[in-house]
Amino acid sequence: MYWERKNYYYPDLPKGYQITQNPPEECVGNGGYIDVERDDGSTFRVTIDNLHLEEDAAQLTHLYDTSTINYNRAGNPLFELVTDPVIHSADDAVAFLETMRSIYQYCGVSEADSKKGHLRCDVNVSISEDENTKGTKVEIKNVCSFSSVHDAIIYEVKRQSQLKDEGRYDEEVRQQTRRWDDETGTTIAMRDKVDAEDYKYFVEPNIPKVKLTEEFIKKVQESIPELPKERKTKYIEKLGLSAYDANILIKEKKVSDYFEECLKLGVEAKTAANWITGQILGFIYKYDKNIDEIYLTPERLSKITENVKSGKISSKQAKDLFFLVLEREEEPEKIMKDEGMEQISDDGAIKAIIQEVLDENPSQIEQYKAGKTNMFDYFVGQTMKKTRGQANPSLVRDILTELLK
Amino acid sequence: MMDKTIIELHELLKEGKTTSDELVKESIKKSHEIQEKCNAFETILDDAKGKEVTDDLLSGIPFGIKDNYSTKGILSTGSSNTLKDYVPFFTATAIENLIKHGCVPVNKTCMDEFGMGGTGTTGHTGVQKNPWDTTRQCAGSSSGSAAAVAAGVYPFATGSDTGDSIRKPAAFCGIVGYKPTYGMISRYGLFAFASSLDHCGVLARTVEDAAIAVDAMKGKDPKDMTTWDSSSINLYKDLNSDVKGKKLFYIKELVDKSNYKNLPKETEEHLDNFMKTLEVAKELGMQVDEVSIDQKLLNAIASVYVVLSCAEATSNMSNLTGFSFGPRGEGETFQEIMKDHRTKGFSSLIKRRFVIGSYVLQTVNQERYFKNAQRARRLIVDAIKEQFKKYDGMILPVGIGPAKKLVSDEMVTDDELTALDEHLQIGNFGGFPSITIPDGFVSNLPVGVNITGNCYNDQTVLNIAYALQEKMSYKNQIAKEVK
Amino acid sequence: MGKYFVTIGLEMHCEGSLTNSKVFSPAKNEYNKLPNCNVSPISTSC
Repeated sequence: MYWERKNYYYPDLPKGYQITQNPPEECVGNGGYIDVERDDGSTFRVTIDNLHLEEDAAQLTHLYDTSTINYNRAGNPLFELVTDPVIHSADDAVAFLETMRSIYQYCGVSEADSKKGHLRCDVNVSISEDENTKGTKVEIKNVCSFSSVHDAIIYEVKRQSQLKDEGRYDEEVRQQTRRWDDETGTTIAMRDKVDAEDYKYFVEPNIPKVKLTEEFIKKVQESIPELPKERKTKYIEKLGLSAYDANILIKEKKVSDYFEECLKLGVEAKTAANWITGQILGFIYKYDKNIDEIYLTPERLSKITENVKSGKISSKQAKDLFFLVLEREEEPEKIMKDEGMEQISDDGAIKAIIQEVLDENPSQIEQYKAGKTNMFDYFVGQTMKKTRGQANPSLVRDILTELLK
Repeated sequence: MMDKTIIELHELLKEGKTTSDELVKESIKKSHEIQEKCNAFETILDDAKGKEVTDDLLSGIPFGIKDNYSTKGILSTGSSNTLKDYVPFFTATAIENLIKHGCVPVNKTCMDEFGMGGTGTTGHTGVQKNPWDTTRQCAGSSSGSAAAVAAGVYPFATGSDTGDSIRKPAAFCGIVGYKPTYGMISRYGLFAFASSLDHCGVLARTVEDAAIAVDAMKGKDPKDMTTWDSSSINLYKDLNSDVKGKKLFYIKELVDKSNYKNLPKETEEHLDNFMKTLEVAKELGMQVDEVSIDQKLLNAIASVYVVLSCAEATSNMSNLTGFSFGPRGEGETFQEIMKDHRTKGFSSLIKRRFVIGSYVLQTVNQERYFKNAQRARRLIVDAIKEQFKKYDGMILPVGIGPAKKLVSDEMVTDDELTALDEHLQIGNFGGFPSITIPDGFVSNLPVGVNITGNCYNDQTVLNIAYALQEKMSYKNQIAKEVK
Repeated sequence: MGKYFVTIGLEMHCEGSLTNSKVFSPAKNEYNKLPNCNVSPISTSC
């Protein structure tokens, strides 16, 4: 394995050259494939042309009349994975990218967080009559999110298709570089590939060739952790989760780790899965946070679920508690105390309140006895109202049934 | 005192007959004198103070640093206007290593701009003059270091050698110039010229001093991936002048007078003098053979060097844009700003090299020029390595004679003499350890001989040079101005 | 995706954000809100 210099001048490239690998000779890897699973369970194979290691450039920010350069990112390792042109839909493209992102995360290679600018894609799109004919390849550069990749492909296919329908394909669709513009939702031409810059590649003299021994490769292979696919299988087959839930849980390593931490703390798999896929992910998407940043750690969640399990609070109360914990950033048990959230599970106390309700509603008792069975729910409702929702609902029903006999 | 060797000075310091402060002061005073005479210095560190004297041979001893080494807090220009105000915030590893041994930097020496030149006339502060004859050049690019050491400013100075830039100035100035095996001394902090050809090294007046200095400079450095572990090598300690039985070869095509049609008189004398040196080698018990190397390979040396060094230099110097350091250029777009900084900052000689470098690296031209030059380099190195299977060293005269005049058409070497003038580049192509020592006089000016060995055989090369030095009478000579 | 056969190739760049240092320089690699802190002489110049 060795590296080359890609020489060009740009303010975000401090050395005036980027140290990179020029496929195919010296790259980290050539050939290979990844099998990708779609949402509907079917799979497709993406063959890989090469994977190479290079360094990132600095970050340019363009302001009104100046630009600023932040060199923090300059020199960071950048993994570039180039696929063969074997993907045939925008959905598949995104599925592939999600799969790769997962693998990077799970292997501890990268957080692969688009919010932090870790991910960039160049998308090559072409259309043709059928799978045996080739179209003209158009490159869309620097697309920074997977949803943009999806939109860019859809737009570009539409653009090219329209030109083809109008018979203008040959003259208008050239092998060129375009960029995706989020604001307008269109791709815009940058420059024709014909005038491509001459990068004057030559071998980097300051970095001696690196020999990757069989032993080293084997060690690395053995160190690959449980990948998302394996975790998903485990969640479905061993923990009994639905494929839908399992998919959501493994999508981000941090989410999966959070889930597995909950299991370690004794939370039941289905319970944890419901909380995460429901309330927690909803919260973090809304407030644009990462699951490992929120106050509600697996530890604190386990406190909430324990209290529901033991009957101390109802599930409705648990939902309220969830939001209060996040809002106030206080321990669940403290909030439960402050809000007097402890469920009333004392038979005597409940009985007394139900009796109150019955005493206050004699005509409704008459109606119930006359056959209007939905009055039962009315009594339950009134009881819950009197206890501000804190009575243990199943106990209320049991005792009410008794009293109404 | 500054005309003494490191060892002599160390003894005097240990015996209390002088102090480091005194030496430093004397060196600074001499620096100003020589600056007047030779224009050898970019910066003189008038505030330099003596250091503690320990058992370390180098402790307390003044020395000079070529201005393409980064020195923290001290102006480092590479003799270029693009860096005329550049003060680094870090020090080159090789220099740090020297300072760890207790020696005292007293000045930064002038050079050909960024090392790209072999005359000592292209630096941004002007021409360096030879202390033996100020109408003559010192050769380059370590011109300032060579002049200073020859003039007795201090016992040694650091230099760099990409195509002979230590070893030829040493010859023209009558001193020792040593370039060890590639990767023995870290290049971290040395302004890169051509990374696969650049070597760090030293100018001194004796082989022992050169060994002591390189012992201190060398070492594997995580910041330079091309360095290797030389911790088991002790060049000075293992210096041994017993070279009986060692085998040397010289290249017939370069040294045979009948190979030349128009041999200048001085070159003829120079070659005759070389033959005398070979006799000295034989007297020491060494076997000296004449070997033939394909003339085509020899004739390719200079072109290979130009193509490879210009190409790598063009890439290495791409960072000089004036954005994050150096004087900012003027303009509306970033291209204009960059262009302005580079147009104003680089000399026309450097620009010429960039044009060559860009041209040979262009995709359409690379195969024919750059890649072919790399192949030719390999062929040349292989041919010499083939000889190193049988021989301990290659011995050759340095250049075509003594120091050339500053203003003359002697600047353009006759085609047939080019190989003789440029063979030292073989040492850069192969990363071979290579040392020049003075071996006589032609027209009352010093000339030198060069010994080059196979990679990692630094000790052998030094020993041979040491043995020759002891037998000849040019050891530790100080420049005496020739009228 | 419509009536035509679509062919897509992807070049995915992923930054190795979890390494301790940059790839060819000893500067630190950690998420830093302040600009130009994770630098060494190499990152910004030569």
